[in-house]
Amino acid sequence: MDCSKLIIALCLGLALTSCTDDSDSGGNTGTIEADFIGKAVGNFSAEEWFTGGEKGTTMNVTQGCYEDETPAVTEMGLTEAFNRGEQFFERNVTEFQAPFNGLGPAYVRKSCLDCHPGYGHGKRVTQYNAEWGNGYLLVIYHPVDGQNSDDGPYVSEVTGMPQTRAVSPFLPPVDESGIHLSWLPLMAMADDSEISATQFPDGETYELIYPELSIDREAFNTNPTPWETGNGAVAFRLESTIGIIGTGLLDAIPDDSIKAQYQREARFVELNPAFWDKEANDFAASAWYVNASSGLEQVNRLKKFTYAMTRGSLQDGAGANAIWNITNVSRSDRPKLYTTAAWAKAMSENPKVIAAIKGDPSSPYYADGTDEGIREAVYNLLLPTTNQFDNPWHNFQPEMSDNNFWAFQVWHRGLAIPRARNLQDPEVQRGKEVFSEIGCANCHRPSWKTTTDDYWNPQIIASQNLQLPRYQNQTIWPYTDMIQHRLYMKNGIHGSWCRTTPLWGRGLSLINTGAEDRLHDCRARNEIEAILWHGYSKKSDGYAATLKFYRLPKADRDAIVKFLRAI
Amino acid sequence: MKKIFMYAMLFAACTLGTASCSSSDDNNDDNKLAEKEQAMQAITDQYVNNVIFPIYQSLASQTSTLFDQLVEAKAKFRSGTLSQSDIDRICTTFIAARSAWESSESFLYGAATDFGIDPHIDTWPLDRTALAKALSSAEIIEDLDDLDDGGIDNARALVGEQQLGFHGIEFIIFRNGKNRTLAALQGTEDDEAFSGRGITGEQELIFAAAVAGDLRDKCFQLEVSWLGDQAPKAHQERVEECEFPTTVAGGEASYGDNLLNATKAGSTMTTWRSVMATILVAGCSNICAEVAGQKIGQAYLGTDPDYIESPYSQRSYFDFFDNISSIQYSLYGNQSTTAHANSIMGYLQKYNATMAAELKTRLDAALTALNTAKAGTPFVTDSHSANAKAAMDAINALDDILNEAASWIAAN
Repeated sequence: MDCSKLIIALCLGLALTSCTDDSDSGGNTGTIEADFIGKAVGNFSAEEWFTGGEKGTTMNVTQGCYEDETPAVTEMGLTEAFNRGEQFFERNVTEFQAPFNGLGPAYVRKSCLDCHPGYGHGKRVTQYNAEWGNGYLLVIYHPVDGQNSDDGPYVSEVTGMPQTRAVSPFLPPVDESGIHLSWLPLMAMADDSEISATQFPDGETYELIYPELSIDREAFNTNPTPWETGNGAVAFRLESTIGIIGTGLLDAIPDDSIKAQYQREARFVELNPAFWDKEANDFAASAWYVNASSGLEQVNRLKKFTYAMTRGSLQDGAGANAIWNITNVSRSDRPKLYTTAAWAKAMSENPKVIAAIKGDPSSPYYADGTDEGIREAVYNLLLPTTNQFDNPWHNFQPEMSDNNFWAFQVWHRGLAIPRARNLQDPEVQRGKEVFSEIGCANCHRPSWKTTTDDYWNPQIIASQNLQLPRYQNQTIWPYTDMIQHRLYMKNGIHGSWCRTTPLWGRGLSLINTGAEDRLHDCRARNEIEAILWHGYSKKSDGYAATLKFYRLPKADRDAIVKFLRAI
Repeated sequence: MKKIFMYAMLFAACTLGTASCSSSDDNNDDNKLAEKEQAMQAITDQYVNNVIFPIYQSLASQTSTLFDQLVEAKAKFRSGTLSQSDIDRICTTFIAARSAWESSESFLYGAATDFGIDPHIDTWPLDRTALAKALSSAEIIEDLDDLDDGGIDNARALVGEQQLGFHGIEFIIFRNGKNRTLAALQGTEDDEAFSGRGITGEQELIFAAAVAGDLRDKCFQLEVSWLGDQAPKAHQERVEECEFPTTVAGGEASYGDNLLNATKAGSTMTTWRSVMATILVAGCSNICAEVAGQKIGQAYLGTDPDYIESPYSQRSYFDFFDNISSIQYSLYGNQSTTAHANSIMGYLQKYNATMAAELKTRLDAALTALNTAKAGTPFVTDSHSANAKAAMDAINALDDILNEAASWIAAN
């Protein structure tokens, strides 16, 4: 038997007969936390210390713990690949210098770390620059009401994740100088909410803020601009990067367990009809992620990743996509650019772009050196439909090797969840009790069990006969139901529906990233603000629980916060 | 990277588990715990004031000098008075600044991470082709040249973070492990990526001076973030002018105060044991794993020399030596070869002499292995050498004992 497993088994075994008097007395006076780790304390089971289960938990809870690999990585002999994959996450992508080359022609960020500082969510910023720390993506869409609805289709003139940077001689699809962001104080809740926008019934005050975003029409280097298409109205939102730690464990939750959760919740709350067919008591056809983004392979997994739940497997999920589209680094299964025809057209019509290329015969866009030839090459090579490796104008080489993509996926699937902290603290135990009593745990479901973890593997990894970390038969504590709900916040999330955010490990955000902003656009600067935004509208799925929280005595509110920081 | 810490923690928990129900257990004795916590507080005080503060002060000072010397070199180049001794002096300053930075890497947690300073000033490989393109632009050169009117800001905005920091400057002033020659600077850049572009020494010095300004500002930010009001007034003013953040979570506390005031309201450190774990794991173990697994490991185990840091000065092993020296300073509570009484090493010598001895043995072995490597073939020339393997193994062994020490302190 593996030594590490033996140790953990011993710990878990001990838990069944462990002390209870320590937790009753609090354990803070004359004791140290290590005395309690791995033991049942109060209303916590011994297993709950190991938030990511035996194979998915790091016991490190200091700064940098978000970077740790899971025990599964070590046990499977994948450490070298994990380390190599980590470099692709951390390093600045260069335009030309291998092995981190391929930046542009247009890009969202130059590095994954820019959006995930300290491996966390992005930080709330007051000015949109595509630099380190700003984890926001712009969301640009045609609002269905022609005004400022949260709903409506993405504009097609810029990419779904709009790019604000480009390599010379191109101009970015959106010029950052035309982006205007302000944070406004919330003066009142909406829709007859019984919750104050500024204070608890006991007088303790708070201030909720929300973003207002606009982009000048002149900032769009596209032809046409979004105002000339769709319904002619354009709205803007911010969306912060989603968590990356523990996502391999979430990928290991079986689809049939999630189906049972949908069935339970559908009795009490309206679920997104794009995912759940209430009549059939089964998934809607559109709940399934059928084909990989490359269009070349079938996946056939339940959609469960990203706020909008657009992805069905981590191996074709947000990270696998981002390592291509955020930087526009091509690879063998992603031979096309992440661009739009409207940008390609604008660049091909820009005299400065044409002149710069004309002055550089080494440019891949040079063609025959005539204005017309350059225009044609620019337009066609920048189109999102052109195969960069096989076309009449210039054949590029894949910029990321298949083996490095595998290493990146080992890293991604191998990121651990830090263990829980301070579960011996009676206040944390009280927080857990109240969290459940007032209904938070209805959506922030505490635990799941993984089974065989027969993950989907893309062909470029499977063809190399390479493995990824696996998390079979684990109990994990992510605190999410893996289902979308609606909160109806002011200037809310695009599409209205948002997957319940996993809460595990978030209490360590401040020491890992220097920030602890929460919610999809980082509008909440602490746990209290995040909870209260759940009650902005009476229509919110979280309203009833939030109202109960609002009416709690301060000691219980503080206990919930302490609990959230412990898990 | 933390596997030993994890297993050791579990083991500690299990071992204690059978006995910890008893309130009379010696390990849980209130007085002993209080005594140890007082010792940890004293260790923290010594560590912050005598390791972190002086190293960041040195880094700020050296990078400031480097900037001044490069600005002067630019002027001398134009007037035709630049000499080889000027270039040599710049290289000496660069090496001192570089050593200070690498010596700070056992405490990259905090401001260096929270404000993204590490990836900003120490990114590699340099994209020489992109740099050549940038320096070919008369507009960019003009924008970088006027240091009184945004030249440093323009470096941040125009040349790309991939070209900023130590390694952009290193490329200009070193080549093939030697100081750049005056003759080379007076000719046109002959690096392959610059072929046919006719980039002059003047253009290169304009770039280097602007990048050095950015490097200095970021190192000032580190210094001010940790020292707070104790940092030189001029440095504080420059950081304020740059509008760089310097406090923990945007509050009032400096990073130094955050550690020194552990367990008090407002500090992110709730226990003295968490401070010890931060020093040992977030600090020392992290850089240990980085050196063994990434800086040496990726080039030793792979085939791509572009993974190698400091290729132009060929001082990779010197960087690594300074990284492990940084661990020594953190463990010893000072920058000497003898541990201060109020240090983690001193603590272990008092409470677990066996572990202290083993930790010292492995630390010395890692430094010895790197000293041997420094005297041999440069890493960039032979990344698969026995010296590289010996250093990697010794550093991995050090990492293991660092995590074991962290686990022991956390559990006892």
